[in-house]
Amino acid sequence: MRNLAALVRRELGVYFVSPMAYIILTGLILVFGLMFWTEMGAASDFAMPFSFDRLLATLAAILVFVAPLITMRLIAEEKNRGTIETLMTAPVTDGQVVVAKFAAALLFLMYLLLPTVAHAFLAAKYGTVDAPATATGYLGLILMCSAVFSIGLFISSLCSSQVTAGVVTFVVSFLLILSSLIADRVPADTWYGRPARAVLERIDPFKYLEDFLRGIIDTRPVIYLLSVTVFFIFLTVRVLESRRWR
Amino acid sequence: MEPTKRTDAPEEVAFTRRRRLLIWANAVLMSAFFLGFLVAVNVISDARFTRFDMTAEKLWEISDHARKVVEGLKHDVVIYTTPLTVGPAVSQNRSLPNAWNQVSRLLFELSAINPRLNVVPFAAGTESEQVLRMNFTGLTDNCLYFLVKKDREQAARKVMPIYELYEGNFQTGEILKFHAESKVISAIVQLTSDRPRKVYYTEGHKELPPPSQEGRGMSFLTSRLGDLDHVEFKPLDLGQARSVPRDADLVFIAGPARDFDPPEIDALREYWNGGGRIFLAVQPLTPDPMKLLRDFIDECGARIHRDIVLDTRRELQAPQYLRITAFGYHMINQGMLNVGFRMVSSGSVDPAPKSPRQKAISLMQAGQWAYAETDLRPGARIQHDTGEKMGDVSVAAAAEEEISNPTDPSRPTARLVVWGGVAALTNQFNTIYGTANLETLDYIANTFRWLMEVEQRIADPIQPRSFKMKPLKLTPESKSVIGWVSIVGLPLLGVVLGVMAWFFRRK
Repeated sequence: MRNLAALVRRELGVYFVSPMAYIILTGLILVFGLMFWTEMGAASDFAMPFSFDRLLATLAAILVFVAPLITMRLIAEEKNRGTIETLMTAPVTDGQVVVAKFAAALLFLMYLLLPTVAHAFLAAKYGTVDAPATATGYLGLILMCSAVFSIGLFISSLCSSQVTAGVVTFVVSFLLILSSLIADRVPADTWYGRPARAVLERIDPFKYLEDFLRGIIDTRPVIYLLSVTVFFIFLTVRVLESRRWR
Repeated sequence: MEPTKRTDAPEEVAFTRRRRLLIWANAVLMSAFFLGFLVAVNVISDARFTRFDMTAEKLWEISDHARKVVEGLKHDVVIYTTPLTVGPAVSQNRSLPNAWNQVSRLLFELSAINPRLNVVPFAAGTESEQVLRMNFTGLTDNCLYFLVKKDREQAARKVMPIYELYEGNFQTGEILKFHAESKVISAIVQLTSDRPRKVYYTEGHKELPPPSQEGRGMSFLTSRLGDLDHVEFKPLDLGQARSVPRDADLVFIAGPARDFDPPEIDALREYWNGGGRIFLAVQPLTPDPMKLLRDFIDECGARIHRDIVLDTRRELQAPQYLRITAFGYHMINQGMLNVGFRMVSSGSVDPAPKSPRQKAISLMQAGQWAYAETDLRPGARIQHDTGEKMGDVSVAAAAEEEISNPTDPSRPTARLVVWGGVAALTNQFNTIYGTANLETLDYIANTFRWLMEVEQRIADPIQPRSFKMKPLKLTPESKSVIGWVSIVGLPLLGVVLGVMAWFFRRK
């Protein structure tokens, strides 16, 4: 556990030393702030209670584009710099390395989300905010991002170039978001139509977010998103292990 | 000295390859098993899932009654939602967007219970528009359109305006009572049940024919009632039948010109005493005084006078056209505030309760310039004579009577609505350039709906909700503060943190 904590600290340090973290943070708060201001104005104009769900949905869409930036360097950079060999020979297991990198990415995400909580307090000052529903929305966002991050981590472990890892992660994330739309285009009357549609509709992480944003915790998306996360972490560990066999 | 052992000996290479192959096979198999395990977990979780409503006001909690109804759906139910119109409707009623939002949430949650219930947002130019135009008389915004296809031929349908689903504060936008769950569930129950509501219209007394598409027919009204409440109109010859059928939800008597026979009156009386519902629209000053029918209606709590109400301001231009703006405080008249209704050729009708078990109220009153002419002669000048009622003459009344032994125990009251004129119900006065005038038709439909009362009965177990989340009201100053904090203040924090990190790193 101590090893894991040390690895997480090391990874977090890397994030906060690079200017990328602050560029992402400032950009994200600025875009979120603009949306927040517009939404507050619209809620007031239409005499509606202010709701965070639409803001969080847009934030989720932005985070899908931000995710490759966060995950692309996780393992690809170590390979590129040759530090992966040092890490592999250190007294830590492959699993610990992968989990530490994943945990650091997730903690960094939470750090990015932290300023948006200030907006919730601002909204509560002027109106009413459904705090438990908003918290559930954040939970959904973290679960969705953890699934996307685990995919990004896996892709990063396969690539030795950060840019390649980032581009591939972006394409995969984008395809996942589009999977529901693609499902609608699959002809339902063919032999493969129905199962293909079912699978494509199933894998869209964005679809699962809807429930969370509305303040509902459904066990199905929780299990699905956790399964995706665990599976890709498992695959990443296998990829790191495979370096020893080759 | 022993020679060094070569590691690329063929047998060692083969061994290493075999080992590597085994390791790869092991990794692939493990991954496949793990994937299989996760898929199994997901399949099980799909079958046995739970939903927790985390909202402070339990916005998503569906009552057991509603859940049972939706879970037990045997037919596919499609609810088309027309978009919220940002325009006069919203400026007049600021609670509409809030209510629309809550209704959307409710429909979303209901559709999650059973895939047989589908919610489809209406979009112009798409299949949804085609379907709606094929199945409904007219399309209006801010409505829910229910469509239940039971077989290829038959489709039950219903329109439900959003404003019917709640009581709200038009100024602040606050929702005071939210009835959407009970109303939507009632509509689903009504549409999926095999029995449509049946309105029997009487024949044999020179009545106007409701299904007729002519100007004096009421096809627009019957069609609208079909849209709204899945109502079927059926003829009833009381002279032959001698009793009102047991499946009658309502008996409609549309402008009779000849009196009813005593056995027919007895049949109506028997129906009334069992908790019957009657809608009578008379024609004023018919040659036949129709004493028996008038006496029977009098027993039920409303008095029809033998006169015609005229507007003195319109002496030369059809004085029989009355613009009604005074409506009695009654459920039928909901939404008629500051709205006018045109009543044509109407006699006066007064509420006249006969016993403490009866309640009666005037539904519509002609204005202060109207009077009840009792001796209208062709060519004679219209003039108010002494003894004739003048000002606020009642032209429609509703009566209710508590019934001790109702035929249907869930309907313990008999209900009656009497209109002094039938013309306002006809196609001629409910169209605008040949298309249905939904505003007047919907007001008339309210009368039928109150009389039939089915929705209220179905919805009883589901309680209305109220919301603690108040609509947001920002002053220009507070908007400005929010703008500065969210667009300048907080992003600046990110910049400051970045500069600090850069500074300390350099140090």
